[in-house]
Amino acid sequence: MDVVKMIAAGSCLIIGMVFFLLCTFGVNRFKRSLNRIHAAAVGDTLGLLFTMAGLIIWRGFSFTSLKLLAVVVFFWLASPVAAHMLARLEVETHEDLGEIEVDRR
Amino acid sequence: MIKEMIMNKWLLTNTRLIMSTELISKAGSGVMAPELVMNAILMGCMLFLALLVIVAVIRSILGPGITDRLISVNMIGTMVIAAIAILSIFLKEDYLVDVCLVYAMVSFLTVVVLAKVYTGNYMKKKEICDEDDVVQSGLRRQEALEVSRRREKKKGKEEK
Repeated sequence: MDVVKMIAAGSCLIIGMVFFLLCTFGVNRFKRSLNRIHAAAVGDTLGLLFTMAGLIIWRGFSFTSLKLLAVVVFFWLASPVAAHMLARLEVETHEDLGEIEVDRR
Repeated sequence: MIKEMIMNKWLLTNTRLIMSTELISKAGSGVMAPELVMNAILMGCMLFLALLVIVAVIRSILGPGITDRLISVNMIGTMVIAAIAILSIFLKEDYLVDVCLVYAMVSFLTVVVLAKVYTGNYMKKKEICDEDDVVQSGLRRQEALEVSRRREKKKGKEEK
């Protein structure tokens, strides 16, 4: 039983780390800020979800794991808002965005 | 009394670290206690996250615009939250999860406030520029005229 828990939690953690690696790789690879926001959101959502899922599986279901779940829920609410603010900042402070078409108010 | 408590705590933490390092040395000899393997995985994940944070810091220094910097700062916040959560399980300290929750809120607030403030500053600057556009264009024309006159004078002197 412990071994099964260990395998499940470890694989979840490693998948989370892979998502964080993809997120860092994407942010360093893309050239435009609006593309970079897309790459950064991968780590905010899936990376954190898989990391916390692994920790919750390993810790067992208790009040601490509920708090870890609360962190994920808060991040899933807050991350799109932050990304939207960043995108608006980028669009409003740059007059020419190249081939990207933007609907300005 | 407090000193003893701190010493006990330190010893407890240290033994856990020693256990995880012993495991790495014993991994070849076929020791497969699940807790030790999990400790090693948690330690490896934290080291990996530290490496990624360093890469993100480099990106935030290189990033050409303010948006790139803010994106990488946000990313660093996410990775630090994951690292704190892993650390709280690794050390079996539940109060670190609260730190994690508060850090998430502060990191979100930082990004939102910085984005708002920078956009506001930019729009204000732009408005002032638009108001002064007529005056400035006149000044620019005068400057350009003066520069061209100077160049003509220099050319005339060189020809002489």
